[in-house]
Amino acid sequence: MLSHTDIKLRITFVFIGFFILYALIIMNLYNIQIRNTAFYTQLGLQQYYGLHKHAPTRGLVYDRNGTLLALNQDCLSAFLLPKQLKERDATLLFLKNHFPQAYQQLTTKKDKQFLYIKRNLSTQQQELIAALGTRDIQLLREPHRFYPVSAAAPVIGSIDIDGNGIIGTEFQYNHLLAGVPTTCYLEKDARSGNYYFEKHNQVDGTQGASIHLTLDGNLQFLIHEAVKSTVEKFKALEGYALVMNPDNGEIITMVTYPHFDPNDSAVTDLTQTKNKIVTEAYELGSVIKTFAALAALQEGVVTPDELIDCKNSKTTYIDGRKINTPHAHGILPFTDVVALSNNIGTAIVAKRVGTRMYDHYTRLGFGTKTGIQFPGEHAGFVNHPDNWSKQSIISLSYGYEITATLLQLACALCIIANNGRPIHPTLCLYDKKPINRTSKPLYDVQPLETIKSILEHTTAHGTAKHARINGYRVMSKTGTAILLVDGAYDERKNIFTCSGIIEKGDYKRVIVTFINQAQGTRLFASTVAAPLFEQVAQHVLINDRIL
Amino acid sequence: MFKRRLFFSTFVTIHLVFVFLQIHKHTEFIHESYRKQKNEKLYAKLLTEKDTLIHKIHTLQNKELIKQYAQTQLHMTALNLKQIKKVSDAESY
Repeated sequence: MLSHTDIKLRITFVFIGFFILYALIIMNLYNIQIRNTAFYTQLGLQQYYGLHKHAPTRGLVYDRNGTLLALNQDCLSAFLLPKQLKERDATLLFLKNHFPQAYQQLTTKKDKQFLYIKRNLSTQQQELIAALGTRDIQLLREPHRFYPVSAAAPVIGSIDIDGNGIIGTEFQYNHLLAGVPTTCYLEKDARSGNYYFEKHNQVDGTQGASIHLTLDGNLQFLIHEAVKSTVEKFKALEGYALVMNPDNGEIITMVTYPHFDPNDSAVTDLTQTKNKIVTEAYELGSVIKTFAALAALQEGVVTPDELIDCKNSKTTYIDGRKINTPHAHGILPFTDVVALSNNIGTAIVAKRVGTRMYDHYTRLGFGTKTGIQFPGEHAGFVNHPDNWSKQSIISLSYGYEITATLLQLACALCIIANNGRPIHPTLCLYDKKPINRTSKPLYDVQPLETIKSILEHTTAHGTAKHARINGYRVMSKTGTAILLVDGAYDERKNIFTCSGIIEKGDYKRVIVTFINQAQGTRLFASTVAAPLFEQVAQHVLINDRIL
Repeated sequence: MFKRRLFFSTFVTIHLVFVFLQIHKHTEFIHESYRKQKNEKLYAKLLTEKDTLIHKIHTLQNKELIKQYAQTQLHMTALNLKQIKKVSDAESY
């Protein structure tokens, strides 16, 4: 039998025990609820609420006929969790053999919790991983892009691994295509798995908007094939073709060959990602004579019938400066000087225009960006009269000391086609800026009509004979220019251009074709770029049913 | 006394019913929310399948392959403007 004192002692002991226990609980509660309240609140919220960022679907890219040029297609990416490898040796060996970069990362950065082995796996790589059959390598589905018309690659561009446009229109219109991701808090508990109880939007996102380009996918392909066959025929370095509608500035096709494959993630040659029609400026040679002649006609310093003494020689001197021309001609009417592309005759007339030639070239848009807003657009260059030597006006008359992109060349031709009114080139159907037909034209009607006749004569009887198409009014000019390589002109390296306007009734198209460094002797644009011009024009006319 | 009991039991019952309805409402809400999420997932899956099919269609519509097929299998050649004869409406009848 326990004594009263013992019972009291025991009760006191139990009481103290409970007191300490409760004190500990209260201290802990104080610690959780009051002292570190912010920390535990946040920890609790983190477990209860999950911040979720949902990437919007990227907008699609269509051509002018509604054909898809860029669409979404998820890709598979492989990853592993380095701290949770179950078959470490086999996985490491596999990575060493097939994904050496991932192997290197895994062995050097040992504290990583997550490692991408390869994003955007190719079919072959997917098969390799499937054949290994390891649980260590897991697959993740990620948004990606597919480009059905690879001929349009340099124009459309591509996106990076995170879905951001990095080249071409994908970059230019990224703000429209990308959309805004939705950020939301998901209310969930440990057992809700992939599901949630409540969803609270923090940032309301928007889906990416689709865009319609002015390009014609079919025509782009057909012209690409024509450029490709010309480049292959002449073993040239590259070839370009551009077709524009001078009525509204729409770019119907913009072809560069060779170009990168947008569906191949491993782009080896970055220069092939450039849309060189917009981003590269060249001294284009004799095609610029079109505008030198227009300037002379506008200034009234020459008439189409005026006889010009072309010295009947391939070489002559003006103001002590040597001028070469491919073929010797005697006395020619000015129309034939342009049609036969005589440098001497052109320089003689250009000297009469003098420094005003600079104003004409800049008025036609040379030396300034066209406003197409395409990434990496080159502004070109026109030598300012302040920097002129005695040679400058001579060089400027036949396309040297002036660099221009092919887009600038086409835009300048659009001014001629539009009776003196400039256009804004565009690649997006919504970005069209209408031509102000009430504004004063940049050139008078008479010089414009005369230059059109001269260009028509050039196609019928001059250097652009191979660009002729019976039944259509073709006004074109060819140009063979020597390339400037490391500060010196290399006569073995030439560029061949043919630019012009094709008309039938109200229908008009401006076409520019360009071949860089064709291999062969005695090659001229008349035999390299003009036949390509004719092929391109045929495709355009058949495609547009202008028969 | 009976009235008071009746009042209390009615009061308690009504409250219990309200509590039950509230719980039921919440359960139904979660149930419907789950169904909605299931449908959203199904929708996303179907969209992915649609994308895959569109991708397949466009892969099959590869212009280079079509051109190759037309040239090698069907012996077709590129059309030239000279080969096109324009037929007037009167001639077509």
